[in-house]
Amino acid sequence: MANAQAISKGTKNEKGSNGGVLKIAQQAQNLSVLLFLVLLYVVVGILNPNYISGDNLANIIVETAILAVVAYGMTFAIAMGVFDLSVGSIQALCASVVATMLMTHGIITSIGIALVVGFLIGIVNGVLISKLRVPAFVATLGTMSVVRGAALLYTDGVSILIKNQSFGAFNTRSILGIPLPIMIAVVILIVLWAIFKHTPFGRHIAAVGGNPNAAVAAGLNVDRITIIVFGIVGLTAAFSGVMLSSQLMNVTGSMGMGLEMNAIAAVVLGGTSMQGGRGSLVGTLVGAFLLSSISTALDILNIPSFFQYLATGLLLIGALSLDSARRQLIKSLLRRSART
Amino acid sequence: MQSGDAPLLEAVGITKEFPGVRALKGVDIAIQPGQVHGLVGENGAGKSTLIKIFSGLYQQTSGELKIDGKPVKFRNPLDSQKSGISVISQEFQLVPQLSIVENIFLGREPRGKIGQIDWATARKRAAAILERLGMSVSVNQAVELLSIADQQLIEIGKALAENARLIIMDEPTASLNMAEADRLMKIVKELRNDGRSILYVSHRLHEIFHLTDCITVFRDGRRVAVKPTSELTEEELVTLMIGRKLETPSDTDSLNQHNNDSAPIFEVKNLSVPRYVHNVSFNVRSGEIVGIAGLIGSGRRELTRALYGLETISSGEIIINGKAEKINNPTQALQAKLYMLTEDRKEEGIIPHFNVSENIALSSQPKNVKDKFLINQDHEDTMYKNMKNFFNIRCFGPTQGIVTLSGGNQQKVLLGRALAADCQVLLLNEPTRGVDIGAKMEIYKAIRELASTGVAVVVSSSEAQEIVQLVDRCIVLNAGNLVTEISKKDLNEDNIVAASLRRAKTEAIVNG
Repeated sequence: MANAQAISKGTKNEKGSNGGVLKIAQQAQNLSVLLFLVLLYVVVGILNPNYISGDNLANIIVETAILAVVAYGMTFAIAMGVFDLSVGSIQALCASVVATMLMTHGIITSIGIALVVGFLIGIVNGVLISKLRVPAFVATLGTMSVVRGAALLYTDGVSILIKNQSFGAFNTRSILGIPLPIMIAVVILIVLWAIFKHTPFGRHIAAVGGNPNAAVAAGLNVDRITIIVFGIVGLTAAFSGVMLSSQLMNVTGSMGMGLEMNAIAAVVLGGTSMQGGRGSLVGTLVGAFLLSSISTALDILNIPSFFQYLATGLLLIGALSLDSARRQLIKSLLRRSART
Repeated sequence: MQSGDAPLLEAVGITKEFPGVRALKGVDIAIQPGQVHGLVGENGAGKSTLIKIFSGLYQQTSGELKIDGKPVKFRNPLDSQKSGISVISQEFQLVPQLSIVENIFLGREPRGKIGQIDWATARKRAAAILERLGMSVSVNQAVELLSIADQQLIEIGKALAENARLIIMDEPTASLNMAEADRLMKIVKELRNDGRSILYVSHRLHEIFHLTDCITVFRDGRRVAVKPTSELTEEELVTLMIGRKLETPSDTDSLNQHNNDSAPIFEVKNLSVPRYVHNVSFNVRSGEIVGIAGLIGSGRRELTRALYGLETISSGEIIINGKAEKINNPTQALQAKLYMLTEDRKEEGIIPHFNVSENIALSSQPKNVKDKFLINQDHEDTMYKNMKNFFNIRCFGPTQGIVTLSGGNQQKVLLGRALAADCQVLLLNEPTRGVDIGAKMEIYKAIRELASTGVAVVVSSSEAQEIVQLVDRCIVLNAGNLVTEISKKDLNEDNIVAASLRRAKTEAIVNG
């Protein structure tokens, strides 16, 4: 009896330490992102004090919010083990829709229509992937091109100026002293977090991402989950399109190119594994903040925009190799625990 | 022995050890030129390991291989092929998109003057091979368009193109229908008449008796017998395979009444799955545990998967509580109150990064509208506590990661998931695979308790012992047919194994 207790105690400690190491690995990545942020602000702030001026910080915040909203949707997709390449095109089309609608309709109606358009495109993605069994990569690559074409056709290749000034106030207004874009980013974060953590649907997303075969065998309606997740991605991309158009007040069909890359990078930098099964929406917000801070820093230091592609790509690769290093660690720990 | 009549391939004292397991314990086998040599044994007797050593995939721990009396070492499959050995395994090594001729000569394409592939010669030789195999298709046909049986012949064609002297066939008729199997056996005989040797591995004893000159029997990694086929009877062979004398199975009274005469809540009528299951009917009463026995490839796996909507059913009915149910996917099965745990706990069971409680709750159905949209934490906690007590799950708490649990405890969590799914019919596949003996007994107890709550339980298992210990009665499948039903009083390992090896009555009639 005493022996058995000792054994169970031993295993408990062992398991405890495994969990500990994993947590430390996760914390190390979070910490390295934060450290990088602090370093960035100190160094760029010294090189050019304008970087930490109120105006510029407000700018970074707006950019962060716009990227974060679409990256939240991407977090759902990646937690489910897939990703969506069409977000940039959806953003452009929905921005164009809202800009033209504003000429004839009110703000609420215009935004509503743009959101419906984005949601429906997402549903189409979901149906292609679940019902027609097109791999997500190929399906969204296709809609990326189709929707981009639609956006360019819709705008006739010219830029649309938004004249409704109260629509532009979106980004400058504050509620309770908090800038509206931050408000939006945080509210959407809370809503999606609640869905992810506290609804069966959110739980099922993680189950599909963690072990798709087991999810099917457990009787989950994987098709429906897939369709709704892509609908949500479309919706968030549309929302970011609305926010972007209110920031620029000038919309073209070619905006939002390469957004998929930034969105995926924000998610991965935020600590969400490309392997699926997990998702950290707060991490995604931090990832989006990091990317926006870097791009603004490069702007303010007059570094050509080509380098932004370089920086984002390198960050993504770096974050991904951290991610797989962490997975290797987990694997080796599992093997060890299986043997004991 | 003179070198003139040395065996084509001889293995002497072959031992193969894996970490913790000795799969082969010093086996000998000698295959003469122009001989069809049968290799039989129960699952796990070591047949596959020996084949992998012959094909160069594994290297023996000790012992010697000889070709024509000369010692050889197979470091890889290429060494084995160069010695004239060709293995036709159950998984074909064909490239589906390529044509027949491309597959037959893959890696050995005849070359022209400047190193280009000489397609004219290749096609001519491939056509000759096809003719020899009695196939009348174009050599340019893509392999994926061929039937399984024809694809297998292409594998044999590859062996012929290599000019293999020894062809090893591992369960070659497992996925063939009777006519196809007959054609294959005819070809095997022709190959022998050409002077080639064949090592024929099969569970189907009538094929072994029909084809082979000599039979080697493996049991638990040892060779227990080698005899000319003419000196053996089917009963003797089965006795050698299972290591005990067989009690004569009583055919007549095996389909008798269960003591409990309540109406069945789960009925399967004339169910067929293309290729794998033919017209199988059985039923299960509330609280009853019914076993499905059968060797690997008997259609056991496909039967349960089809019932759960994971395989396509070509005909038949599934009736639950008197209502015919349409089950095309597991979601529909769950709605019909039928649930299944697959045999692959890791690939199709646990969600690895979920904790114990989340894994239990995965298939649970919402009790009311609110639960549909919001996770009911109290309900989950209650479920966790109930399942932990019911199945005696050993874990530190609801939030412990499932992957840190032992295999047996993971299985108990999955049983908890099944119970939480609130099903009336539960299908279990290999419920104790990879579980140690102590946990096995606990799982049997848990399954019995689960049944005692009124659930109709079906247990599909390749272990005869497990069926005997667990079930109230069992059906036995062979080549997709239900061969017999064994009632509780006749339920013993010998009867199960004997029935598993016996061919279906219908098949016997057709084959005459």
